Amino acid sequence: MIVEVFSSNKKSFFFALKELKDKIDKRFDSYDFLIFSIHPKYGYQDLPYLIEKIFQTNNYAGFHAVNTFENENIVEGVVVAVIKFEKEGRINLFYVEDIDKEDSLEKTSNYLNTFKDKLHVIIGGLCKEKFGLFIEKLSENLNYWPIKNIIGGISSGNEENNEMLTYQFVDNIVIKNGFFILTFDNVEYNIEVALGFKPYGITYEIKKADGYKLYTVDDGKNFSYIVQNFLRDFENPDIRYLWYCPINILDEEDGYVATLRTFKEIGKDYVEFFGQIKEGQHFKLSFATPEELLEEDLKIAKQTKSIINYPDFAINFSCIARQYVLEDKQNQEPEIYTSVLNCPLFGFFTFGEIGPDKHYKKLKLYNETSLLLAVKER
Amino acid sequence: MREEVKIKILQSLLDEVTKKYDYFIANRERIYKETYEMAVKDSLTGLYNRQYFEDFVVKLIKKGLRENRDFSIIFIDLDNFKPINDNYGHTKGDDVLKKVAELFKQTFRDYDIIARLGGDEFVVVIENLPNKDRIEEVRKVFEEAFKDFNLSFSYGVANLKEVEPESLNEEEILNLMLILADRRMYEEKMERKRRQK
Repeated sequence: MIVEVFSSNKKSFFFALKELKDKIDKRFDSYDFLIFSIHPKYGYQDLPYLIEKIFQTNNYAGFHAVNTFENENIVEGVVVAVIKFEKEGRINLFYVEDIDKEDSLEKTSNYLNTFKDKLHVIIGGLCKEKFGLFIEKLSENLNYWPIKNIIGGISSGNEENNEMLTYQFVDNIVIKNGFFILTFDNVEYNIEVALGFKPYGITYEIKKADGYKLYTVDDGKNFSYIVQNFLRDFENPDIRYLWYCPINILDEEDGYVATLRTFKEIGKDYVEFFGQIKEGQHFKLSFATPEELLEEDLKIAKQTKSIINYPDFAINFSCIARQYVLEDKQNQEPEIYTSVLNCPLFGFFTFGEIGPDKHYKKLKLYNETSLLLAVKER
Repeated sequence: MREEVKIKILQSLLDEVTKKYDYFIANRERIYKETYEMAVKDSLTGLYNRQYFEDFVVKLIKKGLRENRDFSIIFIDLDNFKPINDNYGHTKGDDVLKKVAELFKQTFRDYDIIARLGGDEFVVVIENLPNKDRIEEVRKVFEEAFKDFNLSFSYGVANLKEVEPESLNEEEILNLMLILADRRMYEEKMERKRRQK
């Protein structure tokens, strides 16, 4: 499989696509699939129409992302991964336009259960904070083990006219409340999850929670009060300061760090996160320096290299909060992946990462992690 | 600026960790007791839970094999419990299970380990061989206490010395003892039904 990643920063989406097409035509006679990562500044309405008009294909999928990886570079614009298979490799596109529709969950779980031997890359929108809950339910409906063939991320975007632009684009459609899955057939692959945040102190037990909101811990203590203390010494506190210390939710059976949750908002009596919080769960506070996060990135890159020696390409889903914590070293994450794997890199900074848990029993929505996929055509 | 943010956040984190640690030290006896109770007790009845029962019996098997000592598992299954749930609802059913647990605690000896495996199944671990008359006595008291519901129980007993431990590990011996006791309980239940007819 030949994969190359190209980018454009042109102000107009039309001219950005034109520039990308010129770059692609110079390198490829033909190709099988295009994956577009598009900054939300380009809006959404005409995007699928323009993609199909300029590239004359419907073998594509696109999504919003504020920052995208074009190999070792981080780009705010339009980035496209061009895929051309040389052997038996294939991509199939599956999508759900509205996760609130009654049959969406069943349709998706049937699809994944049917094609349990293939690699699935899933990219969805925030869906009014419901996509994480959908992933949790989807995980419960998967009837196979090990679940180590699904990876993905939630599009990152910004709010415009009361709309959170974290949309997807396929088949001349704008998906506003759903997701798409790219299913790769006849490929070898490996998925790794980098956490990097070290847990501190004694475990908290979640006493009251609802959806993405955490109310009380232990013997009924208001968690919002505890967290407000963290910001009390700042003149102009910013919720992002708390991205240095996400909570580490522990696995109920084995006690390992099952997932991280990033702070989204502090209310008077609640703290909201970028993912589901369940009553009865246990967690610890955590902290990481940029160096510690990069160390973990290097570890998963080497691990991947030992499994897929010469990948054709790699995709990285890294959390936007992790990007914040990485500070001026954020470029080093894609640099590590490209240099260790020595292959093209595509991916983006997400609003949540989707991947397997440690024992491959469940599919999880992660926060503040970096997920790495390496693929090689069989 | 970022360095200042990091230092302040880390300081707050360490303050909170220290505060929580101090609280833990001050209350560790109570916290330990609560945590221990949560981990080993069945939340409905307050009897030991399946996990504790299994851990306890595995240790007992090790000790029994090492010191050539016998012990027994009594497997108890309630008779006519389902109609209580069906006719009076699950809240009533739960209430009856709590009372059953209380009665078992009063009628078996303090040092016998009583656990609820789930539903209406219970086990009692006795560190020597049980006296059949003693169990019949417990059943009589039980039937009298729950006569309004026509509730009784069937039981089966298995002893460590009955199983051949040579090629089995402790978990396998435990499973075998449970299967034996369960089968005997089932046979007793069928026999009692035949006699009632």
